[in-house]
Amino acid sequence: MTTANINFVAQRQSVIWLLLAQLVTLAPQLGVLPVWILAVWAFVALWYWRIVSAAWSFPARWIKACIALSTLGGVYFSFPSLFSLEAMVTILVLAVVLKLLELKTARDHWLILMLSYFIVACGLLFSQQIGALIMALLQIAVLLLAQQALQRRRAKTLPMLRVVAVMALQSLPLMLMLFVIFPRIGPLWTMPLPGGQATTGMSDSLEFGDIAKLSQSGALAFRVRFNGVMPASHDLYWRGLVLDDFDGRRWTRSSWSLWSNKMPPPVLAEPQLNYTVTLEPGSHKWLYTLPQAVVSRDDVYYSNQHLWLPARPITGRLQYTVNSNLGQALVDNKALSRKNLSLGRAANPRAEALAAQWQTQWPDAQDRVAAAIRYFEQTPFIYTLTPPLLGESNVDEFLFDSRQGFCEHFAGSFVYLMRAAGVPARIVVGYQGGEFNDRDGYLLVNQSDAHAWAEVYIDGQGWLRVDPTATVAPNRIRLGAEAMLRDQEGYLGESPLSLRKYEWAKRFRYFVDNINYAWARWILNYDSGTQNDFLLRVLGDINPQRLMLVIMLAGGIPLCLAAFFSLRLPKRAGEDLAARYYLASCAALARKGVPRRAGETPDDYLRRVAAGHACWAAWLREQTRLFSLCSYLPEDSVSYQENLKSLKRGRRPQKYLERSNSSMGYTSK
Amino acid sequence: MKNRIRALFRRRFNSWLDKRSPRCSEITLNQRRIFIIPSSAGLGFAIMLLGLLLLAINYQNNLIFALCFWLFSIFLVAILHTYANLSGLLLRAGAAEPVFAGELASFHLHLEAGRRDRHRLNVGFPNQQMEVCDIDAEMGAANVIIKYPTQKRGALRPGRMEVTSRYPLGILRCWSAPSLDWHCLVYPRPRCLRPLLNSADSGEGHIPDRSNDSDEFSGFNRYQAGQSPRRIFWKAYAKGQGLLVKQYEQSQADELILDWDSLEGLSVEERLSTLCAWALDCDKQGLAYGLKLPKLTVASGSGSGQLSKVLRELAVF
Repeated sequence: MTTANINFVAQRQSVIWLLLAQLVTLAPQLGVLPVWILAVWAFVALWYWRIVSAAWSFPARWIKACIALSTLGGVYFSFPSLFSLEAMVTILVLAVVLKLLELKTARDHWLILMLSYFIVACGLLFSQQIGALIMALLQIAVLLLAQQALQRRRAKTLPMLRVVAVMALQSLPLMLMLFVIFPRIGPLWTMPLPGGQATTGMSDSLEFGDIAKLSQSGALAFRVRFNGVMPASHDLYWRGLVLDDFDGRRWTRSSWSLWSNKMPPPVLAEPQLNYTVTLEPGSHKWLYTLPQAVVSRDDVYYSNQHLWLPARPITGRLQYTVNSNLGQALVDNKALSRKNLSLGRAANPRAEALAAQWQTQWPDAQDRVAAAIRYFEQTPFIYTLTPPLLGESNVDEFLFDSRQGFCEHFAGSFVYLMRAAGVPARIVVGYQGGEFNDRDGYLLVNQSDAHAWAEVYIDGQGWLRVDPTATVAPNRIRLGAEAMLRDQEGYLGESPLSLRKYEWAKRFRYFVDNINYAWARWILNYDSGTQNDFLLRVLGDINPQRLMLVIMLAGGIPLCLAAFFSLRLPKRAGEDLAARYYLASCAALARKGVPRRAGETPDDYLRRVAAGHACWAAWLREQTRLFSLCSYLPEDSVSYQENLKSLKRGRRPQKYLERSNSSMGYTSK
Repeated sequence: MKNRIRALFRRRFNSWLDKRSPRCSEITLNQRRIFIIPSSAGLGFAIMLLGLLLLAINYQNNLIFALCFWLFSIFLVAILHTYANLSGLLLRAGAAEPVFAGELASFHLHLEAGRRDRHRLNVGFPNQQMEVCDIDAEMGAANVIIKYPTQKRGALRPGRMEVTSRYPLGILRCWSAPSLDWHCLVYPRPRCLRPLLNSADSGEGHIPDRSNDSDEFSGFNRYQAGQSPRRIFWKAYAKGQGLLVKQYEQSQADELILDWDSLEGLSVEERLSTLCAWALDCDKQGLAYGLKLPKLTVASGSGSGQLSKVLRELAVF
């Protein structure tokens, strides 16, 4: 038997703490885990509790196998794939829960606790809000308490909590230093990404009605901080994805652009706009920029449709700095390919007839574009979030019958007309505008700012942006979606943030968003780039010596202080000072070679010293006399204080001799 | 081979330890005497931290980085707390009652907390049963009895004892191996290999017992501590006359001497064991007896004082 086994007593308190730790570990994760796992836990915990109270025994092997297989089956049916991250975390949690049914040694107890730490960390993969971190810290605190309960006779919560709090505070400086200095390297291998969590966001295909649906979400899409002057709202076209493949109903990204897409980044002319974009996690698959743009980041690349795409799927928040020149043309040598003129299998005879008429009337492509814009201006279109559903020939029905639509209706029909008229055209999806948080001076782009517009190719000028929505509803572009749509039924209808109309609610929202933005900018997006900047700013120069010095200062000093405070013995209340000074005198004499023996009274000691070491006798006699005086005088009397003072002064024999030599001419021999 | 290396290492370590903390009767644990290593649970904790680090790197997740570093820092800070649980603890060697060889010797250990709560101290001898004790700062001190197996008779000086603690988190094992100045007298293992003969009768052996007629009742005496309870006159005690002892006059010729020389043909240890068994037997029957060893004689007597005197001589022979 090992010592661990001997020490392990299945004490009730540690079992209670273990069960509590398990509950605390899995309960906050129920957003990710299937809910039935709580029932499994309750069943297993009850069984284990009965085992501990000696009512039941451990289950037979076949029962354990049955439980394991049925729960695994439950996981299989709860998740689309057993290899998704959620399913794997669920299996881990199940393993920790079911381990209770064979918890026999201290080692098993430890295993459960260690895996629980890991599960808590896994929870942070799914949410990285401030709240999630606080929850994780609470979970860790409970785990540390459960770990401590094994090492105490009586697991009282408050003293244990005190120890955990002291240790947490003492370790904080070291943790911060490690966080700042530890090198951020890229992923070592690919891991399954959290799925299922994807919030509403722009998709890579577009049908009439998609963006109107997205507009009803109050979620944040991304934040932008401009270095310098922010452009006017009607210039803020956050270009996301180009949809050039049309099958008659649905716009998608053409597949050929997927495998021939890497391009050298464009060269920008002055003047440039510089800004930093922080994409919210979960809803984005590509980057949004103001064209023509250059993104300074290693793990993104430039593709042939003037897009910036991530090299790896975006896992969390992505922050990137962009330089843009809004006036620069988007030149393209493949623009005239058949792709950008294709009408798919769509049949919209009336629209095609209109386009054919323009084609014969205006030989110049630019004139045809102008004609189309004029057409949108002059026709009484209604800009609405809730357009009627359209049938098979949706472009015809929209242009000539219902005439009610959202931005994708206008952009889609415009591109259709242009292609039918022989002008290369395509749809661009992204966001338009944003709301300015004047508390901290940055732009909030919400999902409700989602927008679709068109790009037409004019020889010699490149791809030009045309936004038919702007001609129909100029306020949408000038004042933003919110001002335009606020009163429409359905706008932000799904969101509790429909409080937006109130000024105080807006201020509060900006304040909360400020905190979240700072959190995302400084904590969540602290990567090798930020780290480099930060260290450069703090150290002036990054070299091993300076890093070493910082580690010494930032890590060593707090640890030394922690050592000092935790190792210092608490002061004894009402300590006998006279005894302390007398003992100090004895210790001083012991250093001279005459230690006081254990159990020797002061008088005996004095006698022995007087007999064998006469040179110290006079000094020790004085100290002993003062000590016995102090011991019997009341502590608040004047003479006690005086005697104590002389006792303290004389506790080193050398000094005493020097003093008496000079004052009394006493010589030691 | 592995065992030999381990034994060599152990010997080296012990001799280094002997220089570092020599044997004494009372010892305060301090940085010279306390050692800390991660426990097996601590290794598990380290593996878990490594897992967290990989998770954080692969998912580029700064919060998991923070969590990992925080737990790592707690690991480091726990060194101080584990150390503090032993540091300043005063150990004092207490008494140890004599035992017979083969029994467990009990050593009294006095622990003084020194103004700090002490949690889950495991005290004991290496590879023996460990006693767990907790000391509150208010209580201040505790007494523990720790066991050590005996094999041989003689004066037993147990080796180093061990004090270990894993408080507060169990991930570190803090230990000290103080060498306390304990003595324990180990009597020979009682084994009666020959029947007890009265040496004075020279051969015509009989096993004397209390009903022997040769002992003549001579009167009562006040009971004195150490006298055999078998001679107490219980009837008088029941009448409330105090403890009286029946006094027997033994004739000189009947004096019982446990004689070394009467055990011809036995080895030294066998002789001692037999003498020990005899002495116990005599004491049990309340007889007066003496002991004769080659270089030493114990005068005749009876009672627990006589027994311990005789057994002591047998133990240190």
